[in-house]
Amino acid sequence: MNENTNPSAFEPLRRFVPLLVWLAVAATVLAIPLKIIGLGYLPADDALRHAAKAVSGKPWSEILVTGSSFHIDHNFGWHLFLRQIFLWSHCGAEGLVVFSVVALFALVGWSALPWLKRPEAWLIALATAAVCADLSDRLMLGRPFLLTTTGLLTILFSWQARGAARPKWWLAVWFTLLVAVCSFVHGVWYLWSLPVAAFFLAGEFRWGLLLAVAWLAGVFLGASFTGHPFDSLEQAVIMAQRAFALHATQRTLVSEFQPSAGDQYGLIVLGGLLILRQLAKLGAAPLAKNPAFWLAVISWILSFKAVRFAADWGWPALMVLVAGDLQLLLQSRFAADSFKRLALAGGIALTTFLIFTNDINSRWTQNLTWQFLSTTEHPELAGWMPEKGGILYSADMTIFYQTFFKNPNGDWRYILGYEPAFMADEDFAVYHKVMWNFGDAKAYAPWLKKMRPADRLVIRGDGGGPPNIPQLEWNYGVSGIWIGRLPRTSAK
Amino acid sequence: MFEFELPERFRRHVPLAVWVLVALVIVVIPLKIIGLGYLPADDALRHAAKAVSGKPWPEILVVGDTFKIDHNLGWHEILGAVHHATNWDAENLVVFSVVMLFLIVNGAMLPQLKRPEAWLVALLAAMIVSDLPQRFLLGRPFILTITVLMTTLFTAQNGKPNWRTFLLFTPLIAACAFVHGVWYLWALPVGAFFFAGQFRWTLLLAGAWLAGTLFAALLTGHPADYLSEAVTMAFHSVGQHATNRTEVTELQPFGGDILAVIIVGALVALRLLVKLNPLPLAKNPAFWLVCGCWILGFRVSRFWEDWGWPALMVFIATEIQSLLLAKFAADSLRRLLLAMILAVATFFAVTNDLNSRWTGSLTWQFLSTAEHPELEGWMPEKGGVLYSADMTIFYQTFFKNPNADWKYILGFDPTFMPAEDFDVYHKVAWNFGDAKAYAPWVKKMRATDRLVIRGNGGSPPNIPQLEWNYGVSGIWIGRLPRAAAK
Repeated sequence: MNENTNPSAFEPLRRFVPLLVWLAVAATVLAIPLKIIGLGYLPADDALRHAAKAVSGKPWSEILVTGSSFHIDHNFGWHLFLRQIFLWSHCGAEGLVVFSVVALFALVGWSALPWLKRPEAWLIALATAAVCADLSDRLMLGRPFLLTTTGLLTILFSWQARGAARPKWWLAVWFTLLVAVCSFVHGVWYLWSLPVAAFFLAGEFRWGLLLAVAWLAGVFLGASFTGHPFDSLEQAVIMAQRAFALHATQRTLVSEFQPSAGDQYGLIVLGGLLILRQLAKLGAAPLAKNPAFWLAVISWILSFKAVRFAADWGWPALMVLVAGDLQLLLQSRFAADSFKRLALAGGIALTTFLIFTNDINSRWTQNLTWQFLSTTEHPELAGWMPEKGGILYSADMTIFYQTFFKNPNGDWRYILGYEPAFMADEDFAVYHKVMWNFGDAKAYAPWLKKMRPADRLVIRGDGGGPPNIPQLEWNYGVSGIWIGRLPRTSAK
Repeated sequence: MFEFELPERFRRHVPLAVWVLVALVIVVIPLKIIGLGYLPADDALRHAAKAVSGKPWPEILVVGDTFKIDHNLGWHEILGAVHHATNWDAENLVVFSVVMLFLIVNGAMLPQLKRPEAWLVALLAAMIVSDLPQRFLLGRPFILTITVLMTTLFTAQNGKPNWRTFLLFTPLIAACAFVHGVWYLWALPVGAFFFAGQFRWTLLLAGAWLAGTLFAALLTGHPADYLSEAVTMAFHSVGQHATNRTEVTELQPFGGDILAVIIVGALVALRLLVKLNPLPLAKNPAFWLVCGCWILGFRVSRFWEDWGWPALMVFIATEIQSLLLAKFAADSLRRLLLAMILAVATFFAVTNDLNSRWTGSLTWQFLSTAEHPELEGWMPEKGGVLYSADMTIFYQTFFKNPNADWKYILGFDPTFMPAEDFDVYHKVAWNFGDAKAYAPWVKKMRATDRLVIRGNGGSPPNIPQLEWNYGVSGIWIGRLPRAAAK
């Protein structure tokens, strides 16, 4: 921008521009999760239970009341990894969550950088996804699916970086290891069929074949690490099947499995890229020959069944497309060592940082007002938590996440954990009835019938009056949560 | 992948395969949705119940002097005939309405297109951006009007005006006016043709409009009443309300539907970038109808939903068809694969149960002693009136009790209420359902009447003059205390 004022004075510094841009991008990717964690953020779902599981060291069967469909932990690798960190650092469940959030965000954010000559294009892709798809929230969830996202980005970017060249044999080894790690920690091995299909649809048959082989080998390798290769593979499929099939309507599915409305902004971004390609004459490979495009299309269609297809596979693929096209644009308009480029990268870094870290709708701070069921934090709950060998009944998964997080060593079990599909069939029927009837108290009846003195029923509700279940005595344990137990006299 | 081509002997089957695929998707969509247990939430229920009851509206509703004649006379005749022929109950008639009207509105467009898959793109776009296909599944007679509107726009694009098209349009518009009633709104497409400079089409359509409307009015047996009733109803529906908020949802203004504007922009960009060279925008009546209805949508959203969006769908389908004709050979494998992708996407987009749009009715609880015997004594008695300021109470209760011997104070349009009852209804809506606003109705209630108010089970409505029963989940029924009533 000031190149004309005194070119000779700054000329020797130009060679540092690429490095400075690279550092700015890498630093932004790291600064984002650190800033958000600094606000007090805790993710709302699985990251809490992963951390608590690692601290507890117990198998799921000692934490949850599981049905016969549960065989093996499908996040075995992730829990093993977190457990080792816990044993090494003694950092507690909260420390493990912070680690998960920061490490996984940075991993996803950095995974694109080795493949790009203009890493600032990746920041634009990140910012676009954050603005259009709330991907910022998902990238901060601290869950192992982010490793799968990292693996996917690596594969798509490596294809993009190699252009039309044939894949090398060592890529097969590299992809196999990548898929093995992903399926070891995340479990959903079958979903790798999506990128394989995308490569074939793009006409990249050699790459498709290579990825298919890597997928099969990697999945088997990953499953072997669990010690129960066939059980772990089967478990993932059973879980997916039950998670959908047990529900009469989509309304009662967990929110991630509910359908998408069509992701209009994703389509607008894709349309924008098409126009950009035409107007700027970027010379990019046709979309129909790009596996990332096909993966975005497949995932968009499947998102009408479950929104996670778009969130976890479609948007990362679209981000690869965005980064690839914008890199071409930047290369055609800005010299690699120009100060204009440095200024632009600085502006993009600042914008991306602000887009991610602003606390719109309290997305990063709402957990500050959560109240946990924990006698350590609320001594007045003594006698109201489940007793030794007891069961915590609840039809609300957040109760499990938050209570297990604060009581990883609690000596009770939870009727509902992180996936209703694992419940015993008769318990799932109760859970489903509660959902179906929008939380109506009558639906809890079968659980009331089998409750013992050691058990508790926990229902969210305001302090106005207890749930309409007079068979139990109730305590407004913490704000927004009622705890019910069998009346002490009748229990005796 | 798409560089492969089918052997010659298979290629000639591609156009037929695509046509069958598109038709199949259009057939399967409403069947799948009905299979989920879907019931539309509003008028389809009362149309079916009216056909089963066989009674005129004054025997069903407490109507004021603005009511003269049923403005959906033709539709009730059709449903009545189906009921008599099949002995179907109200629920089956609703299923029939939903499925048939969806098939008609989509099926009628396919013969108009050389590339029927272009219609799937329009349907998909409408579903993602506007939920219009949800309106196509409401099972209401306005869908016939939309069908004829889109047919008119396509026909005008594909041919020249002549006496045959006049003979086609006249009975079509007559059928619309006979079943749907709002004959005056055909001024909109006539205006659109005029602005597009298509003067011969304008004259032809205006002639067909006048002839068709007159023919429909004569069919009702009360031509003057039928025509004046529709206009009076329109004026009252909007004019009686002090603010937009208390109007029925469909008559409230829209927010500008920015995504639809973006679609129009994208189509314009497509024209420029791909150099399709079709009919200039300014000469396209569909484009003018889109523009006109978009502006009118800021007054009443139905202009946009029932006239603007259908015109936009015609616009989308036409533009996309031009693109497909330019880029895909009619008998290519690429075309077949694209059609398959569009078919799957459209099916998933329309049939998925986002926000319980297709299964919300599964948890409805109806006021019916057949379904809830415990309501005995709590339904209105013979000659009684069911007071309620909630139209869904009318729709659902009439649907389940088409032969009941009571009347409803509020039916499908507050306009028809006697003036003093409209005042009460308006006051309730104005005060967000406040119990005090019901006072005039409570004062004139008789022992045979009931007041029905939606509310949760915590405590009854604050109207102590009545005794209350939490009839079914979410609904309170009030009646005069039995001792006082005696």
